[in-house]
Amino acid sequence: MCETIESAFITISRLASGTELTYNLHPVLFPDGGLRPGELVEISGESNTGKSLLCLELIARIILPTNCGGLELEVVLIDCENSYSRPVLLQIMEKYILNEAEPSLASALTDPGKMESIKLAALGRFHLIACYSLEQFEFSLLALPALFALQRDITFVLVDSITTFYWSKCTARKLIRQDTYQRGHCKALNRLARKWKKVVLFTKPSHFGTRQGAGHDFETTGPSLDGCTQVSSSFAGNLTPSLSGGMTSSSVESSLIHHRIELSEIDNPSPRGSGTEQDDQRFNAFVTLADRQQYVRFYLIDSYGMSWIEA
Amino acid sequence: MAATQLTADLHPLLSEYVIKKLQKNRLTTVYSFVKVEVEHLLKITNLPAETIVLIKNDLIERFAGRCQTAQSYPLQSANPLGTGVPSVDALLQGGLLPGHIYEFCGESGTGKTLLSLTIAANVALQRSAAYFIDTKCDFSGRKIQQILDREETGKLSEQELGHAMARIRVERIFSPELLVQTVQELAARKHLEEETHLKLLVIDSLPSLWYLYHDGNSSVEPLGLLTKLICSLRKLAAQHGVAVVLINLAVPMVEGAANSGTVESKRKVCQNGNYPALGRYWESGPGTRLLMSREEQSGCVPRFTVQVWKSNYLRTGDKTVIRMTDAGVR
Repeated sequence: MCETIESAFITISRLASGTELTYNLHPVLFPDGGLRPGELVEISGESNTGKSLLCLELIARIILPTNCGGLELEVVLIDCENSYSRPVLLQIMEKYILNEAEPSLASALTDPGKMESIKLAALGRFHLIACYSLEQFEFSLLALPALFALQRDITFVLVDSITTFYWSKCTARKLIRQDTYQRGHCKALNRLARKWKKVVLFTKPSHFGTRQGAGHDFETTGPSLDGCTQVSSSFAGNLTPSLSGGMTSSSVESSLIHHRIELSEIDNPSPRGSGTEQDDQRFNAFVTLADRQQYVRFYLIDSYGMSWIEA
Repeated sequence: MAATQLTADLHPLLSEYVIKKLQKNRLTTVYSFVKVEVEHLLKITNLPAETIVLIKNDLIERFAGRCQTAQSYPLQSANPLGTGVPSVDALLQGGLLPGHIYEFCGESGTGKTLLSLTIAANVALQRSAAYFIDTKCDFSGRKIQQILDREETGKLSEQELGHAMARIRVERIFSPELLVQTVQELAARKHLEEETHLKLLVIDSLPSLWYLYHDGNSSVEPLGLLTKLICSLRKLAAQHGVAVVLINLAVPMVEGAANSGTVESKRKVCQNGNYPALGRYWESGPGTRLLMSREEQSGCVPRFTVQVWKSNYLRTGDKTVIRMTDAGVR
């Protein structure tokens, strides 16, 4: 006798979704099970909140071997902002290796050569594509399928960031709104993720594409010499507080993006730089999952990367 | 950036005849060619399908960014470029990193130009080449000479002084388009001139060029140029191991200046309510932004400080004090 009774619709959709494979990418950010192939994740935040750093953290977790807490899979980073820094990545990897090495490995780590060889082997699983122009970026996206066929272990694609070349695309002759531009790229990335069963993550600054007024993206209001703010404020996004920021995006986009992570700085009540000891800046990550779960996590940024604070 | 036009010399299998047929169907750029379905191209060009697929794959490979594993990614020299100012070197954990883009922003009179002159002089002393782009006619050869003269414990000989000054190349540029073009040429030309050992590029300053647009009707063109500039700078920095220093202004936040009642999203401001000029897009342009400020002190010489505003490898908020002297910044 069967244990459960389910409708034919549910059975078929369960079977059609393919493997139940999930990747436990980041236990703090995605505590319940992780990410499935074909999903699209958005990482947004103001400048200097750690978006590129989070990308490096995720890359470290992906490429490290399983006996160091990693997934031992391959990843592609499309770097449009020159944010990849080898020393920072090596530092982050060292942190994970030291913290999460299995006991059998931990004893071998006293030998510095062992640490270096683990890191070097991990770097071999990290594919980097640097893009310096819109055309190069668009072609790199087209070149990904060939790369996937060549390197079958690639499971994750990270793009930092998708908005870098917006002003190359939006010219006086051919205007294009910020949200249209973003939606176009989200669609392309979503298609790529679903077709090739990869997990795709991308970063974007939170002020992009969130403008409420229609059609005022490109005009200035006659700024004064000191008020370059005018030049920027007429096209820059205005953002309601980050808590609702994710929700004001159009509903079309919410069906394209499965999960969102919004990073923001927590305003430090004590005046900065007044005391001799400077507090580390504190940040929060507001996560919205596909099933509408929402939660907040807190972190600091130190010389070893991101350090998550236990709630 | 203009998309690359489709021409016959791009691929041996693309003949003039094929190009003309494509142009008749309004397929003029390489990107449009590779995006269109193979069946559609079959009808237009009458080329066999395998040829079309081959051309497409070749073009994609040529125009896409190069994919390398991090293992084989060229190891940039991790040796930081000393600035010649011990306190700034300490703040930067050694000096300017080749391949990184720095911005000094601050109000007028906070020492940005003098600091960049000091750094350029120091780079020349270390036998590397520096390229100084001057948009405000603030560059002074005399000042460089004064800085060089006092740097060494022993005086430099005339000849050594001459050599050092020859290693600093100065160019005056007064239009944003020309600036972008110059940087693009630098990024491309470097292949040919390996002996120049260019290690530092200084642009003093950016707002003086971009404010030329402030009475224009739209901000599309200046921002498009800023995008081109930062992308070319990143390419120059990453591919040729050059440290880039940009000079920007810090402007006061204008309260209540938002238009049509919309709320300007919160921008990070420093203690005296200033933030970097050139708009929101530019916030994430440079990898490291240093804020320079001047504090008036009653009865004393004003105090000049340099603080890390944002950085992807330095600790935000770290600050240090510098002194302005005749021999540059100390």
